[in-house]
Amino acid sequence: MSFIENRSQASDIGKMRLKAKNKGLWSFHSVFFICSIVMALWGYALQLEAKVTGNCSDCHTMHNSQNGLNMQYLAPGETDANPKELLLRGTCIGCHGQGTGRNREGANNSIPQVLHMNATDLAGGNFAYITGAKTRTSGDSNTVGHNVIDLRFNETVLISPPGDQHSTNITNTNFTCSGAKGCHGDRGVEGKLLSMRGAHHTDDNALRFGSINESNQGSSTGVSYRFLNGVKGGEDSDWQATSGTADHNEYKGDTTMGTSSAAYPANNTISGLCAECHGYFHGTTTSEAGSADPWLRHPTDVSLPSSGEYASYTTYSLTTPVARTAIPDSPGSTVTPSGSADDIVMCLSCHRAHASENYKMMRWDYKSWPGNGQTNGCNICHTSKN
Amino acid sequence: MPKDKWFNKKYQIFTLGSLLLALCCVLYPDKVSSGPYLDSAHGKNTYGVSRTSISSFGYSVGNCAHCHEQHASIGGAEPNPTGGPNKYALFYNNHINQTDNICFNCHTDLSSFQTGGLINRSYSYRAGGYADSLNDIKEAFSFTSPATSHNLGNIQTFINGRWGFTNDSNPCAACHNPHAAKGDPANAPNSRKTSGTRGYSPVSRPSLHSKDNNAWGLWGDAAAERMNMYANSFGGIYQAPNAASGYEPDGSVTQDGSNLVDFNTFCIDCHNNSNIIYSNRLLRNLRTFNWSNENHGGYMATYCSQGATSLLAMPYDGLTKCGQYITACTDCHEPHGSPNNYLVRKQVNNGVVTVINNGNGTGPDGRAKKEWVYLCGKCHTNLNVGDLHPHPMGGPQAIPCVRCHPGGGNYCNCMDCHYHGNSSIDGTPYGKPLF
Repeated sequence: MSFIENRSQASDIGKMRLKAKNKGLWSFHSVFFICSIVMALWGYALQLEAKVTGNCSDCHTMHNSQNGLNMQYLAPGETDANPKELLLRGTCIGCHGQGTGRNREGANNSIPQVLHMNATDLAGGNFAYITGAKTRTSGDSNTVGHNVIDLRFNETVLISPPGDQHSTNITNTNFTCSGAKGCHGDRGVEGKLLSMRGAHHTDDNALRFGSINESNQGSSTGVSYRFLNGVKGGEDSDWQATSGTADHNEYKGDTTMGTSSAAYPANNTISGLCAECHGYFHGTTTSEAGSADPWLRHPTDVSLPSSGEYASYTTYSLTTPVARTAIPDSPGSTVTPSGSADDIVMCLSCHRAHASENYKMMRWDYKSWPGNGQTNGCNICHTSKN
Repeated sequence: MPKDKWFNKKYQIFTLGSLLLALCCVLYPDKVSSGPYLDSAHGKNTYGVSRTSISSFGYSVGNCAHCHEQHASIGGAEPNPTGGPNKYALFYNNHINQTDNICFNCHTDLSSFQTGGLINRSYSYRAGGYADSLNDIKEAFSFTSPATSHNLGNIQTFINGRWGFTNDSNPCAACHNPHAAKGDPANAPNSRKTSGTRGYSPVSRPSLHSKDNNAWGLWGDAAAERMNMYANSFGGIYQAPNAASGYEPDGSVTQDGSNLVDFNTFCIDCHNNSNIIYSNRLLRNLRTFNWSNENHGGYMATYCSQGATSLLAMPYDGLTKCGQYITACTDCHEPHGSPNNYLVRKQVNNGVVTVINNGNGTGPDGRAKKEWVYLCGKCHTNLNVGDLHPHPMGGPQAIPCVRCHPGGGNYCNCMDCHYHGNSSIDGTPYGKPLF
């Protein structure tokens, strides 16, 4: 075979190899491109559909063991490092009560903290006022918040929820974050972790501003406001770590109280949730709040009257917020007392959900007014009683 | 100091002051601005409402919780007094009967839910300096025949459906805005009024009733709401009666009513010539009358002298000011209760009054059925035996002698003819109001 013949053969072979190479490259690139697209879409979908993001191992552990060490997140004072249900790496308080100086932990500040030392409390309040880690303005560890046993600061005075109309069987020794003895999750499920099963992984876009869809809310824990099963609302993206008159949660309210029950919020309202345990404080019978003015107890899930002193409440107050009959797609800065529709007095108009620095979990130091010379949140609505 | 250095120093001081002011605004953004409630007797942080069962929890004096229980539960139980939730989220039933009312839970000197109890004196005590023994509101509303008290049930019936009041309204609120009323003087229950301690005013007009505290303000706190202005509106004058010292209501030398709440306009919201008000005590409707057309009101009676003799007691001048005087309701009447009939004050024009037989009792001159002279004689000097005759003896105003003197040295009861709204004698129109 001549060199020319060889070169020609070589050229052919080269062309064939080049062709094969190109074909391989093309295949590789195609697969790579396709995979990238798939991965990108998958990742995007994850961000779209899943409440939580990140590695599974951030929250779950297969064996609760890594390099001979257990994998549990323990809140300050927690000692139980045993594996948890659902392969979780901690209890509620282990993830959400890390007790640091940050009110949100994790990548992208994605884990809201309910027990922390930051100067700014999130919308639900801060259990640190119960433990004393943060200074109370008034009250004591029994009177400033919901003493879930997870804090190891059990209530020492009350043995059941005040106004416990529905005999919840909640006591000061079993009251916890979620489940039948708590507030979050499916309150028909006894176990606090099981009651939250799947919630963190549920597509919750219907609760987010910009994609609010009330008809898609409330059907499960994962699509309920702040995992409060059945409650509707609009969730502020940073839990009100930053807040303003147009930057806040939107709470669901109604113009009627409905009939409360032990395991489902009446009319899907936040006040209806409270009424599951504090039923006597919310309802239309004469043993509850009454059916109309003059009320027997301070009403909730009633519309602010349109006349008189209430008509002056026109700008949303973070001190004394109102609920809405229809959750807006963005937080509203205005209040429109109408007497028949928006805006709604709710339990959270006066109280924090978890704990506050004030006696009786109030949003302001009610007990010390007027002696303390501070603003009385009552006057946000009762504008002429100052 | 050179001019530029002087300027710089001033500028530095100004700047520092501005910064300090701004700092205060930042540090103390939520300082409360005092409104009508915080200025009221109930809302004052130093001496306002303080229910014993609430103060034990550490609630501040003046706090809403002393009257309003938001949940009828604190610490898992209803604070005293118990009994379940009540309307308006009050701690007790708004009104049950004449002597059982949420207000009386505190406004009583004995067994009061207000820390330390509450003393409230009569108008004769506070304005006239009369040393009577009545010392609380519940007592004032507890008088029984022949004594009299403003009937709370009748008040509640009357105001129901008027001015925003309902059947659930507290009858006390017909006259008092609980979120605005002030003591006069404030926080000095055993003191009479003095010019330096006035607290205008305890009352609010029922016709202006509103749940909006800014709309239902105090009556008499503004200068235009005083008796001098009321009298002037008729072209007359108000003359304050004598008090134990000085003149009513505050013992000062002020006599023209510029220091007295215009109680006439206040009372006339209810007691006028059109409102029908039933009295359980009298078993009839109260008299209707037009005070602007009454001798002691806007009509300004002219029978106050005979010749050169004034027929009026001091400080009233029947010679030079006849036909000008307009009196105030409180010159003769207690607002809450009195040991006398018809809420007549126990002390009028610094003189003791006893009218307990509806005028049929003996008068100061010992004559029967002249009991009313105890009251009227405090201002009219010609009502006793031997005095100048009280009634015109001749002319178109003359009255037959036998009408008043039926014989045997007897008299008719003054009230046969002299009562609010009457301008007739024995059914015969007389053409002018007689009272």
